[in-house]
Amino acid sequence: MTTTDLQDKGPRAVIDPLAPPTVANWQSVGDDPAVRRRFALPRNIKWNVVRENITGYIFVSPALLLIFLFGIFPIGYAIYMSINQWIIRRGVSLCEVPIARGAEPATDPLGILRQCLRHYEMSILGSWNGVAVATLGFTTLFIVYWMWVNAFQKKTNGARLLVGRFVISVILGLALFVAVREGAWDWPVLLVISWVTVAGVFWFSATTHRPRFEETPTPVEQTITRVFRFLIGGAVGALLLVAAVIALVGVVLLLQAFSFAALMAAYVGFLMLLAVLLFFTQDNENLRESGITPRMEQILQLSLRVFGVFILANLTLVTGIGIGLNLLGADLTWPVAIALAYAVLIVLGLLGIPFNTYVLGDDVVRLRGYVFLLLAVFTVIALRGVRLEEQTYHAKQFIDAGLLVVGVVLNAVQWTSLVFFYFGLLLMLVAYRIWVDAFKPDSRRMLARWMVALALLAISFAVISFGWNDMTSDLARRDRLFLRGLEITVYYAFGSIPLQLMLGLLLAYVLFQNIQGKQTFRMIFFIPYVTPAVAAAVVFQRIFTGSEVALMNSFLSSIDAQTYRWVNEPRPFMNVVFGTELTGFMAGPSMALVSVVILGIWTYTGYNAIIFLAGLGGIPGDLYEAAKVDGASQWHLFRYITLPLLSPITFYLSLLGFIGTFQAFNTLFVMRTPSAGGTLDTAGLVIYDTFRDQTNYGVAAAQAIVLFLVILIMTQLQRNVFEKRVFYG
Amino acid sequence: MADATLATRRRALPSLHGAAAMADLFTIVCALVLIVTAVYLAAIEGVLGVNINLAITALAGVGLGLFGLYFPRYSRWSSIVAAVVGLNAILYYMDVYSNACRFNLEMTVAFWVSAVAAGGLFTQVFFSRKLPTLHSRSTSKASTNGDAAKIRSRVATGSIVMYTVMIVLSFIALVPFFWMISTSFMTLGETINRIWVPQEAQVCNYYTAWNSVRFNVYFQNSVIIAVFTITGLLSVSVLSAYAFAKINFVGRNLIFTLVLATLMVPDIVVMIPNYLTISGQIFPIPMSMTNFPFFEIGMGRGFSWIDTLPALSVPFMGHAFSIFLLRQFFIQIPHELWEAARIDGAGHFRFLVQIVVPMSRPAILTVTLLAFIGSWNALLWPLLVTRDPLEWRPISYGLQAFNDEAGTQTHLLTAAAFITIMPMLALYFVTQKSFTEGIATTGLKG
Repeated sequence: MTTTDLQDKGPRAVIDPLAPPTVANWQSVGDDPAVRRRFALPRNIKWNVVRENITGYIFVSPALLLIFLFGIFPIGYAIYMSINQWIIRRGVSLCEVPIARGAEPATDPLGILRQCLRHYEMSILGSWNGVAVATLGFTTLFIVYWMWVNAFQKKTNGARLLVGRFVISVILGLALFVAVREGAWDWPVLLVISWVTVAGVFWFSATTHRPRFEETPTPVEQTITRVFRFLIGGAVGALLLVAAVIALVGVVLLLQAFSFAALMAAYVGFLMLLAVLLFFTQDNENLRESGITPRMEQILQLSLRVFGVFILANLTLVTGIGIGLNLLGADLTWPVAIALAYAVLIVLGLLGIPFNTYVLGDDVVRLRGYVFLLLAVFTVIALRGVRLEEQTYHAKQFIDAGLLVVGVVLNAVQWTSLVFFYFGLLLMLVAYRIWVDAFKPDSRRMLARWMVALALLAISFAVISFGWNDMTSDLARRDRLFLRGLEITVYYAFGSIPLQLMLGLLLAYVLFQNIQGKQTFRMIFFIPYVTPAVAAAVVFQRIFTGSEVALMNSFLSSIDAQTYRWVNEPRPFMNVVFGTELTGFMAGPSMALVSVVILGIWTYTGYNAIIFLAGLGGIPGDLYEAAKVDGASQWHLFRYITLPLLSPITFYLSLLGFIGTFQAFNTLFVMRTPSAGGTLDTAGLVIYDTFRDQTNYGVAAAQAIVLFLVILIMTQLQRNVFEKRVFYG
Repeated sequence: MADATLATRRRALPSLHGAAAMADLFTIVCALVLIVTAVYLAAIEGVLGVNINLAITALAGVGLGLFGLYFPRYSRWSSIVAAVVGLNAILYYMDVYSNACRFNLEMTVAFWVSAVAAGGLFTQVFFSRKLPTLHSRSTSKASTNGDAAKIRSRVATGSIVMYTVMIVLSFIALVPFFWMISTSFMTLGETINRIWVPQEAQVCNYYTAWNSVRFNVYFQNSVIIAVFTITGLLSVSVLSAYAFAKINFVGRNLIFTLVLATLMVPDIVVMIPNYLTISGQIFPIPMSMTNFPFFEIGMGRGFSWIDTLPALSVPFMGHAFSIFLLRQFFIQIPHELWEAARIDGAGHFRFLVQIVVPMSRPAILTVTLLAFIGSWNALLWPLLVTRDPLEWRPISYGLQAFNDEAGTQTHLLTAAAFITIMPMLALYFVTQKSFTEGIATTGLKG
């Protein structure tokens, strides 16, 4: 018996390994034979481990319950709300028994649940059954794709594998066919056709996947292969989509009310969710840091590929349908729609945009992935032209529910403004690439490149704003309010954050020097952050009132500057201060919003300064010494040492700042006055008004989700654009 | 025997050296002031006169001062109690002389009594033993790091410019406060003119704001909501953070990632379905009977939590950020400590309560402060889940509603604003170092 045995096994190893366990050599309660009999644990599970797990779950359960109930469940429910039209019957108490006309009150939990929901008239999806079964349909598709990819990766005998895959796909197709219990005659036919095509494509792509060329292919061959792979990828995607559509259709047919627009509605809703999932988990470092094992990461990557294909396929099909409906109206048939979808896919494939990121599994080029969202917006635009007879009402309701709002309304006539808008975005991308390329060390004529990039950027701004104004001029009032809210939020964010950061950095730098009373200054500058937001907003509203005796105006008049009407002034500040006559987005924020921006800067500068101060303390002094030896001045020290080493903090603060300003509510709600004319209504306020005053729950939920997506995109954009510049020493 | 008592008395007297001695000095000064006040008032008004309350207050202050004097270990507590007693005096006198808009003799005396006592407390806090810091890295490096001192220019060059900049900026930072406080002491007529300092301090503004605008209700609501929320939040977060940090259970990392993912979602997305949940429109929620037998915290009517305390506090009790913060702190506790406790027969719960929690006061203090700020600032959620304006709405709503109604009564409005700000400012001054450090380190950790 070595000492390691002693440490591993405990006293029992010393006494006698063959004697039965007695009270003297128990290690834990689980050794008691009576306990073991009672709980019937298998021999190899340690009772201690089980107890540890149970303790862990007990400790975590209250937090998990609360977070699930108030944090995770609401997200799904908000998405569900956003695709429904909620009409609430007033005056009826909820979940009270009895509630339905002439019905018996339910006594079982499920019945009570149904009663609770019954007083909402849901015009689209109809019931929880549909949602549950739709999820089942998607899961089935995912399993199919997984089997396909797995079959690919195992390098076994080709022919046997193909037959096997074919058989699997046919069996699954039949299974789905059986699930379709009633409906129009053409659904089963389309189902079988789709599965046969999918199986054929499996075979086809398997043959093209084997490397044909032993030596390096010529550029022509490479191009041909690429085009071929694009087309195949597109075809695969579209057909997977058709299969998905049909699966979902078969499922939805189980419900009482089926409508095409309902289907589209559910689809686009889920698309947005999946797009969110994609963007959210796009970065590999994120995945690794959160403790996901390699196995899980594989599964996640796989599901990302599946969902990528899925989204792409969905989007193209729906785009095709939209275009077809716009062109043909009610004469559109399924084959034409699928053909149009193929056409869209081919066009996009030839542009090389999203396919080689997701279908073929190349390395994800992040900037290119954003074209996805353009595509989604384009799709939703295309939906606006849906003109089916009795489904028009439902589709219109769904579309008015706000999912459209982020993008654009398109009549048949206004394709031009859409083109302008996207062209402007494209110009902005091109300008960005030129700008970035100009900084490469081997680039020539840097100055010329900068000028070109800046000119392109300016042109792109003009084009985008022209397109945007043109597109949004025809919206319903509610949607126009929300879009205007987004614009105002953008003004607020871009107005306050750069100034906060610069002032905060300046303060931190000065505070870091050896001045007297540093602690007192730190304390003073942190006080604005600590004051309750409502009180600060009230005080600032009174300071910035339009009357001549308000503090700001009396200060301005005492230094003989011009006084303004601040919070009571709805005109844009460019017009008021500089006397121009601009309108629309380029005119800038109103004076009221400028006051709120000043409040934001006042509040957060101290906070930024404290965080920068902590960061400044972390910079090692050897760098400064070495630079001083080389003859660097204070400015050089600041620009080339301090700034780069502070860039993680700057990046983090700006990220946090953008997220915070996009969600800001308290100060804006308090500083809102009727005389500001609605120029302070940021997106959050608009959502609140929709929810509270108009009790339009579905629309409010949709607007909230749109805002969430906008925040997500901004965060990703920031990370993509700036994270390369962040220097993690 | 006389020698012994003299000797003990001499030992019991506080020494007059060092910074801690300043605190004791102030205690002595407080005690002396209170003694003088008591004597003066007793001489003028008579012990059995109308001002017996003030006399009793003064005597209590005297007693506390002497207590602090003879037991220096408790001098801090005694000065705190003296400050509270003094504040009670001023509140009482504001109530009795509520129609007096100017300071009269008794109010002046009461004011100075409490000011001196509060000053004693202030000095105690600043000059006595410092509160434990969360991470000494950030501030100590900033102050004692010899390397980093290299980038500091010499004080002579450009320091005038820097001082000017700092003074101007701090003036800008504090001007709204000056304006608020001075306006809150003005009359209505004075607010219309452009004057900076009022002629006489109109204390009745505060009284009017407190009573006529029903700020007492809102203040009380906010305090109760904050206490409930923080209690629930701390218990839930400490338990789960400990489990994430120290207990190995299946799926721990996955669940933690899921919890953290909820931080990404903006509030507005979650609030709308939460409103529906709270009002019982999604599923029946527990404890929403019309008569809850234990205590009157307004359990719901029918099946909803609208206009009740749980609606305002329960959704904030499960917050991923505090779990994250506490977990980062608990992870630093060495595993040997747990093993030693285990050997002594402690389970996880006992280890947590008796060893981990007392060790992690800085982190818990930071979480409490952040939760208090969040609770005091909350406006959107209370607006959603309350319908009756006077039932459970917090102080942020009260101030905003008063802002809408007040119109031109800026003096009352600023008094109300100051009442709103005061607890936060007081909390900030008392816990200032650990507050700033907590915010700074949460900022760094992201």
